[in-house]
Amino acid sequence: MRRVVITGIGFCSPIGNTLQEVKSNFEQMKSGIRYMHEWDDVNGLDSRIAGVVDKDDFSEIPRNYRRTMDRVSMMAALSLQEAITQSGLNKEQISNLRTGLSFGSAMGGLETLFSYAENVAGNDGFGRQNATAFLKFMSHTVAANLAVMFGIIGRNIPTSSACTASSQAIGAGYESIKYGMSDIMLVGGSEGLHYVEAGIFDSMAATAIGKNDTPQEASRPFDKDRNGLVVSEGAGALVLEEYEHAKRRGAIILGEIAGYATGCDGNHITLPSERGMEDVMRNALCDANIDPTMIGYINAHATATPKGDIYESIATNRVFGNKTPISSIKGYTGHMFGGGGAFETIMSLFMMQNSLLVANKNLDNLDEQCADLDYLRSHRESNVEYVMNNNFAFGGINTSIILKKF
Amino acid sequence: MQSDTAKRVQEIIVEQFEKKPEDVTVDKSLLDDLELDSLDIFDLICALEDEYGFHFEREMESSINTVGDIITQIEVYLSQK
Repeated sequence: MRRVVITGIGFCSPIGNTLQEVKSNFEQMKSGIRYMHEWDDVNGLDSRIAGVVDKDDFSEIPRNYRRTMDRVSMMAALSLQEAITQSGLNKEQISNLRTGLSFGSAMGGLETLFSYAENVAGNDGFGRQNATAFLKFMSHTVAANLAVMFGIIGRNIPTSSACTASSQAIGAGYESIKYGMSDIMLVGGSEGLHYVEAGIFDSMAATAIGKNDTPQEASRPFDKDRNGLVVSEGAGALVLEEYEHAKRRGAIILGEIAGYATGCDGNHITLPSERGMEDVMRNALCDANIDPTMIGYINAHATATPKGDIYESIATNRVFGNKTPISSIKGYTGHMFGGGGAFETIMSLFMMQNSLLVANKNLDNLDEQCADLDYLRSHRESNVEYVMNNNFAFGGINTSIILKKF
Repeated sequence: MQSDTAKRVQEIIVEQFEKKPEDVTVDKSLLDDLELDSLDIFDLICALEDEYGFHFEREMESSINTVGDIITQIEVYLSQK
């Protein structure tokens, strides 16, 4: 069976754009969530906080690529460039029929879409709209723009499944290599920030409210005082490569994707299903051909919504019992939506490489309705061989990724 | 001596497409010399329509080859205004 390894990573996140910055924020237990003065003129928002990427100058991306990119694609482009640089792959290896790409986002280019809609609805109509606007906001804008920028001629699989957009992209890349369609897959996802995301989740009573003055305390997975998620932005990119291919060229291997599964609840459009979550974790373990006891850490999806965290904890307990350490890093980042699955997979890899499991932030008092699990209350040194990263999306779409130390 | 229109068109092209001012002269072909493509031309027309408040007809667009062609079209429009 063909094995799939990771030979490059890159990201933009609310807690930093380098591993050093991220590590420092974890050590200080500091989140990247802040009050959004930019939204002061928006009426009716309850949640006015967000996780923001500290990056506004994207001029390092050549103009002929940047012209059709919204911020969502530019963050993805810089992340992927970083991952490719780390992998040491050259242009011929990237622009190759055996190299593909799979990238996703939940919303496409939301910032451009809203500005376009406002202009069209205003006096201008369609008379003076830029020809490039659609290319910036279309649902597959990230995958399309990256393919042009990096000269992808192999398979291109855009994903758009909200919170699992980038974990499904990783899965699509993993399966493409495992089953022989590609030797290299560039995978990941991205999400830009817009107040409409806060508004949408406000209207579903799913945002953290009452925390506008204390943003550091807002995102609190598994805590009894949590009341919703905090919207955020960011991107994550990974270079996946067939093991023998990576070994032949002397690549530095960062870790292995040992298993993956995706499944669907087929039940409710927003409410998660314990059974669906449990199934996807068990199927990933089956794909990796390992026993649950071999997983040394679980990176939970846990967005800090009242019901989601409870259901996830129950499903996790059914598969693992209460001995496996678990945390959600959304207390630091907020919910990066289409960028979250990839960034959380990269962070799981980081924890495994550094034998340091990151604690849940703001887990002061465990919700009694959450199942009995080994919730990380403080950072823990632990040499783990396998980690699992779970993500769950509206529509009951579930993913589970298992990484192995290399 | 450059007209005001010529100066402004040059500025818009330099700013929008990140070109060097010395490269944007009246004789330069938009496609071959400045390496713009059809998407760039559409966005340039959009910027010029915003600047001068008129509408480029599609048949006018097809007759634009050089920086000088754009300036000429705008000056004709301004003289008839």
